[in-house]
Amino acid sequence: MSTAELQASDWRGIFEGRRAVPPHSQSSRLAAAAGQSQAFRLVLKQVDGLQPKQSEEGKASDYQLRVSLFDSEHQHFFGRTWKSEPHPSRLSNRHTTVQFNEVVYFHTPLCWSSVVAVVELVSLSSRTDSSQNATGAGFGLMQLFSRGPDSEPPHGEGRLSLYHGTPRVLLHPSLRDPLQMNAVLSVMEGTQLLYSLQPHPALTPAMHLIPPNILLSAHHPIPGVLPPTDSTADALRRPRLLPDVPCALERVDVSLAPSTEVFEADLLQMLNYDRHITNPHCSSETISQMMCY
Amino acid sequence: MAPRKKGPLQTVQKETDDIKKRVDALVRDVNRLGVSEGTESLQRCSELQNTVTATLERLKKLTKAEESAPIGNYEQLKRDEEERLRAQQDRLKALAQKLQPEDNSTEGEEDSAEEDSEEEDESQEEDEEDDVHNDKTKEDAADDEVDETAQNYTARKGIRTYVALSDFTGEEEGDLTVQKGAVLRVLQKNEDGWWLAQDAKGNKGLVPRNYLKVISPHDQGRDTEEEESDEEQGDGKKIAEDKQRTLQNWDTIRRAVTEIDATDVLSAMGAIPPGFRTSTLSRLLEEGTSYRASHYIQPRLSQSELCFKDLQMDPDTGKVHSRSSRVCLTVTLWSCRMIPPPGVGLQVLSRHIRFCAFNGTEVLSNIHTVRATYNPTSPKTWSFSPRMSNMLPCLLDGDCFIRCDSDSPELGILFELGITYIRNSTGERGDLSCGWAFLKLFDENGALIPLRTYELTVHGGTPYEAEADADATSTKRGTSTGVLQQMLLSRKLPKLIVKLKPPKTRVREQLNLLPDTITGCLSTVHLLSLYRQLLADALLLDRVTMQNADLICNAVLATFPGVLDQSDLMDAFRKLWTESESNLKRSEKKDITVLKKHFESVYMSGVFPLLHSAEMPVYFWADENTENQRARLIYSPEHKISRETMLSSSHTHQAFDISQVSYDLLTSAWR
Repeated sequence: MSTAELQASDWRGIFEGRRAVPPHSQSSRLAAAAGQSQAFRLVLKQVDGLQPKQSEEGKASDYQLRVSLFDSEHQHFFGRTWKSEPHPSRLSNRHTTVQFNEVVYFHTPLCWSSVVAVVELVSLSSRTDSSQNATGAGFGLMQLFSRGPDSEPPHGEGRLSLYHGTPRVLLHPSLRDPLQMNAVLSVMEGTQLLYSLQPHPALTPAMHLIPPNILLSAHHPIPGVLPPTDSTADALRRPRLLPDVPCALERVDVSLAPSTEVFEADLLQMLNYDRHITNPHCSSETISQMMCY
Repeated sequence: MAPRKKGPLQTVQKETDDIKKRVDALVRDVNRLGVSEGTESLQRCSELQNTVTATLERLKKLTKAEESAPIGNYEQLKRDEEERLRAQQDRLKALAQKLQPEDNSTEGEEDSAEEDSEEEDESQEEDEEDDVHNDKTKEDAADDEVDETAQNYTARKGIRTYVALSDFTGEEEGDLTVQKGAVLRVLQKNEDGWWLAQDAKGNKGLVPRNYLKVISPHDQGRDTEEEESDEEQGDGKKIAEDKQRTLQNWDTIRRAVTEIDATDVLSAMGAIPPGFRTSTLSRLLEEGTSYRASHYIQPRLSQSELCFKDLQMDPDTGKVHSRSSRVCLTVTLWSCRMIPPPGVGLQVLSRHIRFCAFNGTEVLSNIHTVRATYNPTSPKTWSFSPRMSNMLPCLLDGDCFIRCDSDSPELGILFELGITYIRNSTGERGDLSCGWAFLKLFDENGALIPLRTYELTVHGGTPYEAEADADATSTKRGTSTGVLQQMLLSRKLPKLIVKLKPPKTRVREQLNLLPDTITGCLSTVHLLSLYRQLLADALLLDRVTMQNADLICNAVLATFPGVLDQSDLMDAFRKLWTESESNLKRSEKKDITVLKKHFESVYMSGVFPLLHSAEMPVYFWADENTENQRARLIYSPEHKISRETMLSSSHTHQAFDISQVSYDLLTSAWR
């Protein structure tokens, strides 16, 4: 993704690649009141105990992990779906293991227990027409924050059980209630994701360079952060910022084609038309002057 | 000879001076002697005219390269010289007019002499010029000698020189890419509106006629010469206004023209009746989403792009503001009669009518399709809305609605009767149009036509080839004038019977919540109007500011338009909706808040799970296999996709990505 982004020199490509869904409006309001964002370092190590489906046996398919943030209180996905590189599966002791070892960084101001990371295991198979077919192979709900004031935050090494099905079910109206959810989810026996989730305060100085709720791979280049010097290629583990360069914007010239007067007249005409359609009962008075120099 | 060698341009300059002197002398003589000495003066006059014309010709052929010494402002000088010569020509013209009425016999002589010389010029210079032009010139010459000279001059100078009104990018081999303002020579005017033109660099290629405007100093002289002149300019203005649409339009026309060749092959084989063509509307539908309901249901931006044109909130009620449109009707497809069946060798998969708002040139709305019911015992009759014990699928439902806000006086409904077929020998699929009918909705005074049942004659060919239509059906139409025979013939003509009605009050209320322009099935209107309510809530109430263009996580908004294009999913939704609506209390059925919640809940539990199942085959028009397989996953108790199958290991689903459930205002809203 990063190379693709670098290649896309057009602003539209970069813009579209960076668009993210904002959190639910109520959550954002709460988050704005709470203030500080919390940074995390998530290491997705491996999935083991995977039982390949009968039909897929013999076919070595690649696997991918996808992580999206989900606000279970509002049944609302937000941010952007992070996708890992494809990794081959390995058969050992009749069970398939997929090594991922991918490091993901993110920070979120939504520090409450209803916000979870939805991890989906995706099986990639190439279709006959050389396009890739990505089908879900189970998903898990990763707790990011402690459920109550007494309980420990779920940080450190952990094993996440995966469920059968697709994370789309989280949007089902009958699963609005989290208790209901536990009743219907069926665990994939023996299949677990080995991961470690750590708060990552080292990211705090670089937080202003990374949008919230966006998961970034360790090798993702971030403007303003020095590329890593060591072999780990992990720029965000101890992010070193580029020195500040003060810049002054002297002036900005805007030339409105074909002339300011024509532009203004056109704009006024359009705004009056807008006013008419948004409020058909409005009085006959019109907007006549609005440009300020 | 002059003491130093003169350049060709200088020679012409000298000649012009000379001509000017002679014209001055002639004018003096005429003034002195009066018009009584007409014969001699007229002869001098016409000689001078010939000289001027010849000199102008020479001047035109001059190039800078011929000059012995470099001249700085060569083009300017050349133009000046031309101006001077033209001034003399005008003077001579006026003079000739003054002298002419005096002596008719002389004029006759002059006339023929003039004509000869003109024709010589023509043949020398305009080898590749079309004969039509020459003929016309001759006719005109007989009428008015003086005009002829001026006109001929203009014609020679301007007839084949055009300026491009707009950029045109060639799309196919043989097209000429031109920049706006480029000067082109038109070498050949093809009937289909694609003219062979040559640009300044000598590249030749085809350019749409309406991209070109003639350059000519005497436009008025050309009116008789070329009736198309006005039309061209009219078209030109249109380009400026709506270049994109026109471009699409030309594509359509060009396609229609190329299609004839393709279908000629089939009709030559006897596989299809002569009036059949490759379907125009099917092609438009396949091109992308721009003629689909999923596009038209989306909010439209106003011209300023700062607010929505047809989606507003009523501040008092909190509902979508009700908007009436210029056309808001229910259209009931009744039946089709005497539709020629396709010949042997084709297996018909679907007989259907596609219709849309149309103004004679452009498709103005989405294209709605209704499949006809067909009985092998009466192969030429198509019927609609068959009786069914359970819910009638949208696809078969002949009760439709149309809304359109276009202010075109030609606005009407275009019906295209079509079949989807498989060729038995090759197995290839295709869409044919069996004919079309156009129902103009407004009369000359701009009043809506009476709402009643109409029996429309189905024309062959495509809606873009008006002349071809007569050809295609001439065998059926005949030329007989006998009353009885005409009656008999008229009964043999293919007909489409449709009924127009004003919508019922309740339906009208719902229709008025829809976009200004959309067509669809009447039985889905209540769902569409609820969708618009949800859309308005998300876009007008829940957005932080009206300039906010963030993605919106809302699976209903994001996926419902796609469902609208898949009629079987719409049926599933309608069925679930009807079932669950019966559980609502009477008061709740009127409460918009309850209905919206209910809509979301029914959609998310019943329709959304169907969308990303890996087992669900992609919607494929008129393929029975796909249709059955999809129906099984939608309805069959064993295979139905539900919450349980979304959580079981037995079903596979496509991988989740947040973009599948996010609504993007930037790509959805349109102008």
